[in-house]
Amino acid sequence: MKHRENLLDGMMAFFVCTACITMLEGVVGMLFYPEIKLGFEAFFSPPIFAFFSTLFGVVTRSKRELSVREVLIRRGIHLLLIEGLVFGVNYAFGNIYNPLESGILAVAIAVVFVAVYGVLWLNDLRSAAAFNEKLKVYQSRGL
Amino acid sequence: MKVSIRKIRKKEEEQVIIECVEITSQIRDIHSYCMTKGMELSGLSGGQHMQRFPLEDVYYFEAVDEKVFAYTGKQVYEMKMRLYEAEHAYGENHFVRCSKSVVLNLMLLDSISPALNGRFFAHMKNGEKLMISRQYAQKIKQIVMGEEENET
Repeated sequence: MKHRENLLDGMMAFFVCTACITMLEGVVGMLFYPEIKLGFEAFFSPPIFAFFSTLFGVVTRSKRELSVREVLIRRGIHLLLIEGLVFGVNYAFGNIYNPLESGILAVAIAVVFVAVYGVLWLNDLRSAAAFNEKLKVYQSRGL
Repeated sequence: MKVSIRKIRKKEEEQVIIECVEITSQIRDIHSYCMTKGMELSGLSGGQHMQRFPLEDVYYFEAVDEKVFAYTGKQVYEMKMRLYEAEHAYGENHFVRCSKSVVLNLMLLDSISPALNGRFFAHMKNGEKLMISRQYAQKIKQIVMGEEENET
């Protein structure tokens, strides 16, 4: 049951992440590199980055219950790992950015990171609203 | 359904007998209601006096340093039981585990809201806020939302 939940959470994060990275790559590409034309292999980039970003999310997991401070620290580590992944892969493929481009990329990654957690939180909010509605029914049956 | 009340003399002999053809969800609700209403607990109040109080008044049980406390709207009682015993004994009375150290009363839960890391806050009707940890959130949803949640 617990593994199933983790798997579902991971898949949810993966798909949201893929969508956000696709949009980010589209926007950044159109703004800064409009002359570059990419092949079909470019379609693999978002899911690959999303896969590893989701995988790095393991640092936010813990068997014990974490405090809010611990959660925030672990999320900071998660973000740093993703930043390292993106810059590392780009460096490995010979893409060297100037400081301005690096700054824009780093901020864009952080925006996607926050957006992904934002979407997941909104999903929890929807789930909580549905629960609260059913809770009233449950309580009226029990009274 | 016919309902009859017969007066007796001794309080200890009070009982509710349900006669039915089949145990339906409605019968289970009536059973659960009777169990909750009839039940009284006893606990140490202020560490000195043993007092009796209705189970339905308990918002939650909490384990702190090997001791278990029952929190009602007005008082805190130290219980002579373990937390898992409270969870099992009062499961039919709408009590459910929401974290490693807390068993809460679903009937006195006002609402939930999302917290960080897939956890939820439980807002009790007395204004207290408890944490629902990830591993217990799913079970609570299944109890309240029933089959619908199981299918999703």
